[in-house]
Amino acid sequence: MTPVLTVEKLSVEFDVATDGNWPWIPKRKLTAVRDVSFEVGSQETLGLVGESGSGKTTLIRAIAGTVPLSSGRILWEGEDLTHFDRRSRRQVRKDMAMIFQDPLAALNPRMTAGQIIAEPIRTHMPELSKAQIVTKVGEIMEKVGLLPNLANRYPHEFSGGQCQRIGIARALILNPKLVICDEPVAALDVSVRAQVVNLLKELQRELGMAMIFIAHDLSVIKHISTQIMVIYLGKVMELAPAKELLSHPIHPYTRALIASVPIPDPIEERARPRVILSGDLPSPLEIPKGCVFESRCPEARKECASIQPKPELYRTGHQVACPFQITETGIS
Amino acid sequence: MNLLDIRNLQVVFKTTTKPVHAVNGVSFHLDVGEILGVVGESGSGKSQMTFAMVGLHSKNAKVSGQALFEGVDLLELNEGELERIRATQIAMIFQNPMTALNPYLRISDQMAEILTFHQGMLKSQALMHCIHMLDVVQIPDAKNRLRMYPHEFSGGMRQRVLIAMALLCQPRILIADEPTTALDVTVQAQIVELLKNIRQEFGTAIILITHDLGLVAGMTDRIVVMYGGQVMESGTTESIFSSPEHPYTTALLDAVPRLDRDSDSLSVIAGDPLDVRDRWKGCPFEPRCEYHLPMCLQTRPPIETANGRIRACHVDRNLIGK
Repeated sequence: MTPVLTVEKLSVEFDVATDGNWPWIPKRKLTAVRDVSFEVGSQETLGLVGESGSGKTTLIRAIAGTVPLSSGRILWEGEDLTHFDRRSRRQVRKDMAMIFQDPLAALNPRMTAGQIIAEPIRTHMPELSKAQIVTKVGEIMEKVGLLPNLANRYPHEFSGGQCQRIGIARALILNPKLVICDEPVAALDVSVRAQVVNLLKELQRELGMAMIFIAHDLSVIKHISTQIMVIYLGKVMELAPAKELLSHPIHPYTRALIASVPIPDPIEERARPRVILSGDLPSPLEIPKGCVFESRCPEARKECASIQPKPELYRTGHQVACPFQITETGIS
Repeated sequence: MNLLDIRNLQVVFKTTTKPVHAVNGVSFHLDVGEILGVVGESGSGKSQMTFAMVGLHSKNAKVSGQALFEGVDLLELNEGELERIRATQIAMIFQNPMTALNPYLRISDQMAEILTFHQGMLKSQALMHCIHMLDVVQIPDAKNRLRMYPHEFSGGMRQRVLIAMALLCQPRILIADEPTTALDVTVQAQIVELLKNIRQEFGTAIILITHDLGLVAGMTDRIVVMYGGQVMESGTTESIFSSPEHPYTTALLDAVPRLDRDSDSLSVIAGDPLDVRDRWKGCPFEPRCEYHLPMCLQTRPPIETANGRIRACHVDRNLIGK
């Protein structure tokens, strides 16, 4: 079966003006995403992890078509999206939905919950009658755990968790094939976070859509993903099935990332060995010549400053962009 | 005597409609050199409580109760006296390091001002101190960095600068209000290490306000769990995590997604966090509690103290978590 979405060698670059916006000063290139490849099938969830500034959002924007690509291809059910005209793009957009980080900011404050949820069907299925729209909205609201009689309320009357449910209802009303979630639970409280994560999982089981789930919190990603991709400064560091990535992380960055997630248990947490990365993400304007992670890597060697590691197959479905760690761990 | 002793602290906001009760009778204490974690969801009153303690609450708030710092009630002091205490004895760092610094001033000016104003130091002397402090918080190349503006630092670096500023007068207490929420996990780990070292080196007591139970587990000695402006439970970190005695604490511990455990779905606390505008007679957690009794709706649970643990719940402690 062809996967819903295939991304091949995707790169996104931006032109940035430096030292004043003068026409005679050449623009500098900021590489936000470089050579990213992956695929997601229906019923699957790709978890995308990375620090702020690592290019997670740019990547999904490129997929959604709001940012132009510099190179690479995006295949939608096997067909190249980059060559689609506007009409077929629109068709694809119907099957691709997004859920955003700040639940309240993502909803128009002057529309009622019902209007917000109905907007996608009103644009994409104008043939439906008012009554049909109302029943559809009621159905989806029940599915996401909202009482249908709340449809006439405005976003500010809901709590954060409920607003996120409205966002989810709006994303799912057209039965999309792919749902892109950009940090959907980062702004929610712990007790509500679990509710929303479970809801998304349940809906996926029921509706069978593919998901791309961004979070900077590995413990949330772990609960929802089938595959996890770790990116750093726009490059893929490691891509593996979720369980394997967490139990056998190969790349030093993945290991450091896992080690810095605090465990809510005082005895285990204190007994854990510390891996603390020094420093911050390098500037994306001055991408290092060698491995992008070299400046903070605890395992860095001399060669790392000059070679650019590409993601290599470690074992089936598990790619790592660090040749030294692959040879050291050995192929088992 | 405890370093800080909060007794029955209440904060009520006057609004155009009805009064909002943000903090309803909170009591706890802080020992010298201790790290205390205050855990709660948004709306639990954890931030308002600390603001009220040091007189940073907004004008429409009415604060009552006692906040004894080395025997002196902070709530009775006038603005000038409070300012001295805030500068030299109780320092604060905030959630968002981007907005806590003045973008127009060099770091050197912002830092040195504290010492010249409060300790009457000469500027040159103050700058020496600042460089030393930036070294303590592990900012490389402190001498040159001091001349930079806030925008030239990254988020983690800015938080370090703020910690350095807070430590300049060697305070007895450092209040950290969600110090790592705006930062990435790898940077969060750096800041946590730094705060632990500071306690070791200077013996500063730290109040860590956070919603992240993982953070609290690794660094605090004791925890206060808050909900609806009240203390639900408090005790040593080990005892709270190993044997929680309040339904809210057990539910909260179960709801945290864990990296080290395999489970298919997360257990959930039903319902939404409470609306602070509502007033309740009984226990604020009653609508979401799986153990709730008829009396929970009517009377506020009494505060029980046993073996250094405090809890406020009608349900028998032996029934919870079984």
